[in-house]
Amino acid sequence: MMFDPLSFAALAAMAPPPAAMVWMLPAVATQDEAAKALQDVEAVVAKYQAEEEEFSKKYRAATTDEEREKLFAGGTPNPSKYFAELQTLAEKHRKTEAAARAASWVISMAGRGGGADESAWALEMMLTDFIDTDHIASVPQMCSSLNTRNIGILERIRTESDNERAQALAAYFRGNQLLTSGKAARELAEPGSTGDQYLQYEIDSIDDELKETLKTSDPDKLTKSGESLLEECMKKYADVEIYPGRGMKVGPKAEGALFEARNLQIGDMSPDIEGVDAEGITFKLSDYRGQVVVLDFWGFW
Amino acid sequence: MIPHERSLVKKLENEPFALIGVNSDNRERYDSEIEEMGVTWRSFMQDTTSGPIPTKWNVTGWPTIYIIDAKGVIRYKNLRDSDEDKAMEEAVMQLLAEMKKEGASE
Repeated sequence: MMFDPLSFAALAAMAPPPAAMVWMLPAVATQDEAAKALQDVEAVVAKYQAEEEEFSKKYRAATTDEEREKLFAGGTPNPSKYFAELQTLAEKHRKTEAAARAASWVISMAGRGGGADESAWALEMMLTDFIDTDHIASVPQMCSSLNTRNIGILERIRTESDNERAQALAAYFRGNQLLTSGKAARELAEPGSTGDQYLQYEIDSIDDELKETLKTSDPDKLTKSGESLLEECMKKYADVEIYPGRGMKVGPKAEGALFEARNLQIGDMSPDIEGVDAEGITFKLSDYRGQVVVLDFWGFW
Repeated sequence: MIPHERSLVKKLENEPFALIGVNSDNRERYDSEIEEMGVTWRSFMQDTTSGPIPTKWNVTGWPTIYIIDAKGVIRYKNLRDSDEDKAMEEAVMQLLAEMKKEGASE
C-alpha cells in the first residue's frame, strides 16, 4: 500500500494518535524535517569548503616554490572523505532537496578526480529519484568527458528525462562526445592522421572497452551522428542556457561545435575572419594570405 | 605565453610571418597591459571570451592556437606539446621552410 506522507502528516497533526499507536507511525518527512536535512547537508559541504578556504589562504601566503611544494606535500583538501556522511543523509531523506543537493555535490566533486567508487550511489540516486526534475540538469555537464559510463548516463537522460533542460544538455554533450569519438576512431585506426595533439589527451582518458569499440567503428558515421544531434539541439533547444547566468546558450554552442567539425579541421581551408583592431581599423585574416599565420586566441586576464 | 610570442614576432620580423590575435580582454585591461608586456601584434578585439569570433570558432580554452600556411590551409591546431611554445616555433619554422622550397621550385 502506498502512503501519501503529506496527507498522513496533516491527518496526524489534526488528530494526535493514542500513545499506544505512536510506534506504528511511519517516518514522515515534514517540511521542518526537510529543511533540517538540507541544513545538515549544507553543513557538511561547508566543512569541506572551510578546508578549501584554509588551504588557499595558506597557498596565497606561501612566497616560495619550496613553501608551495611543502603545502601540497602535506595533502590537499579531499572532498571524498565527506561522501559517506552525505550518502547517509541522502538515503535517510530520499527524494528531498537535501538528497538532491548531497548527490549533485558528490558528483561534481568526484568529477574533479578521486572518490569515483564512493560516488557511484550519487549518480544512481540522481538517475533514479530525480530524472524528471530540475536537479538532473547539472549531471550532463559533469558527465561530459568521453567514456563508457558517461555515454550511458547521457543517453539515459537524453531519452528518459522529462526535464527539457536536462534533455537539451544531454543531447549537446552527447553530440560533442560523438564528434570526439569520430576523431578518436580515425586517429586510433591511423595514428597521426588527424594531427590534433589535444585529441591525444582525450584518447588517453578513454577507457579500454570504448577504445576497442572505436577502433572498429566507422569514423564518418560517428561524426555524422554527432552532427545530427547538434543540429537537433540548434532546432529544439537553441535558447536553453548551458551555464545559467553566464549567458551561454545551447544554440550558439552547438553551432560552434558544428562549425569546428566542418571547417576547422587540420587540412581545411581556413575560414576568413573580419573584425576591428585596437585602433578601430577593420581588417581580415585573409589580408595575410601569402604569409605563415599564427592565429592566437588570447588575453591577459 | 606572451613573452614567447613577443620574441617569436621579433625574431621573424623580416620573414613572411604574422601573428594575429583574437583578444578577449576588456578594453581597459588591454590598454593598461599592452605597453608593459610589449605586445606589438595586431588583434581582432572581442572584449569578452564570449565574443562573436571565439563563439563561431568554438574556442573553449585560452590560449587556443591555429597555425595557417601561406595558402590559407589550417596545418596545426591545439599544439599541446610538453613545451607548447617550442612546438609552435618549430611548426612555424617548418611552414616557412616549406614555403621557400615551393617558391624556389616554381
